[in-house]
Amino acid sequence: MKNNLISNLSKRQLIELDACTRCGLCAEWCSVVLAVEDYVNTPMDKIRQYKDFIQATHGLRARLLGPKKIADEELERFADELYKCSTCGRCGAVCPVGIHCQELWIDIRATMRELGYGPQDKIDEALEILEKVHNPFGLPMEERNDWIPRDIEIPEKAELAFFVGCELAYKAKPMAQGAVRLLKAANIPFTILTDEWCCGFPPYVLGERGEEFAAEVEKNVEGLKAKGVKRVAPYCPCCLAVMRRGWPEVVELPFETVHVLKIIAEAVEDGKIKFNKSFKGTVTYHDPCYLSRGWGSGENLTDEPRTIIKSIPGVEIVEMEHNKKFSLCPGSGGGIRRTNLDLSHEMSIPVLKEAEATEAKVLLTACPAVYERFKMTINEKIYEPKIKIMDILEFAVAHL
Amino acid sequence: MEPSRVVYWNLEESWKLAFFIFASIALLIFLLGLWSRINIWTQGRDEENTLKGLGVAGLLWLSFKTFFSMDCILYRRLFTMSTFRGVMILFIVWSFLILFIGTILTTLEHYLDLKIFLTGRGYLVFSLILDIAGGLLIIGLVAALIRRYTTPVNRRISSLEDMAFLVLLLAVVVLGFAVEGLRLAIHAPPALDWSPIGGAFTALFKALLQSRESLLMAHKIAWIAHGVIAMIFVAYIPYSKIFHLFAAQITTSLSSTLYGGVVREE
Repeated sequence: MKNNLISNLSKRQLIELDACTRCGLCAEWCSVVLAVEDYVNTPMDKIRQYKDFIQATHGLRARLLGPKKIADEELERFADELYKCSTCGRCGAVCPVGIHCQELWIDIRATMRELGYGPQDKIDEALEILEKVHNPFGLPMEERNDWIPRDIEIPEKAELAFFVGCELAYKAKPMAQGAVRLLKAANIPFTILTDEWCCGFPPYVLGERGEEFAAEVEKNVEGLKAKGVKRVAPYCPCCLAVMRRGWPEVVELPFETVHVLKIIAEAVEDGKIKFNKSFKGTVTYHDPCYLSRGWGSGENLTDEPRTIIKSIPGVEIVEMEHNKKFSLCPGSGGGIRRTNLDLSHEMSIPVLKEAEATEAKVLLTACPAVYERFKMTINEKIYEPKIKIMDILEFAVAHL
Repeated sequence: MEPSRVVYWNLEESWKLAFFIFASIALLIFLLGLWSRINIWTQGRDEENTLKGLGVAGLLWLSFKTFFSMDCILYRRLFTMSTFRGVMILFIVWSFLILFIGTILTTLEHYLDLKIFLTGRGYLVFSLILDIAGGLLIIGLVAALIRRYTTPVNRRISSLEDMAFLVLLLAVVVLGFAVEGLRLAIHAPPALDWSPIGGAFTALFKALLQSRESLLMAHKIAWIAHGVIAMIFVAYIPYSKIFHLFAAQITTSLSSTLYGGVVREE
């Protein structure tokens, strides 16, 4: 054993491993299990297996007779299963004994990464790309600010910084544009980091917390500090999650973090944003995993998006069968698109089917990763839903 | 004659000694396992203030303390997901707790010669409470076994380890009733109404076994089996998933305070 199986886990997490009653609720609610329609790789089985590893290396027998060697194949098989997970957190949301699985999975991934198990080649490849261009897509740095609308002037300094994130800057540009247009509409002064780097979520969620992760964090924090910002607001739920959990592991943050939707919802409630165009019909809203059950965030943003949607004249929300903290995961996060793309494809289908079942005209999302996941499902003809898909901010801007 | 119960009735000194040695070994195995498991917890990173700096004793005390928090004792999180499971667990845990307290009181009474619970009207009430608790525990355990091994989904995700806990505890309770039933069959006390389930076992054994000798022999066998399986159960706790008895209340309580809005229905 090159390393220690418990060094990345907190006291609470070690207690959590022992707290599992194997009641099976997590297995019944697991997004992966639902997508593959088989009870393999269930959260409770991962917990049992990891607990067995710890008992073998740190338990009473190990203390009396010395630690038992765990076979490489066993660890490899476990790590392989560990990455077949989008870290959506439904397992933790339903756990009767409060096991916060999302955090547990990524901290165990960190151990697997240190020990050299799991999709090492894919993680190394991601790190290489990140080191070169500071975004996970391998796209040129000079294209990062192409999303900025020409008619919007962004001041150099402000107390609030909109953290754009790679997905919004390169892929889901209408989301970034929607965010700045709504902030402008609310007369809220904000700035951005024009030399922003990746938030570090992709390596962090895959278990990599080494130099490259730290470099991305430090660069962003230094830039934000130099601008004297007091609040940093990302739109991407993954950015917010890593800012709240991963960034403080690298450096002390001299600012607060808040989600853009919270600011916009407050502006709507205060009457600072008014929607003048109406929408005739019904919409449904998909709660992104990291907003409704986000690790490290300590809050769930499920009311704010609905406040924004309901303030648009004529809109009627029809809820999907699974919503808020029980929303289905479309297989976009947790590094699953990089490590297990086929599984990610499969996971997107039940969500789209559930959205279609509402018979709403539009499916609104609030996560760039989910938005990109749906686009991929449609473009690659994995499933062609009979519902229009839009980002909530894009939808809101269209009704200003 | 005043209703009463004699502890270790129908057991020779040699059996008492053998049981004492066996129970001591089981307790030692239990304590070693308990210390070892909790010692692993202490090796984790200090993250939450509640757990910061806590050693084995501190964590054990926290486990005891958090058991009595509202979320734990009432299983509120479980009830938000399933009423059936909530009731099932309430039956198992509360009944187990009542029987556990009953056993401790009986032991104290016997060794300190208190004469509070094991004689007179107090004994009858005490007996009735334990009888009802035992009955509810059997209902809870049977419901858990049915849920785990009859529904296709649960059968698919359950292992033999999941069965061990339920079967061991069920055996302890059923044998406990058998001991009571046989004792009452031999003594034939007038106040059988205070032991409704034990009384049912009495009727069963009276129908099955006619002679006093065979009832005495059956009582002894049932007592030894009850004691041995109970001690195996105790020793098995820290080496099995039943150890969640010590851990689950801490995580339930922590998740309510740390992640109140995230994982719990308000």
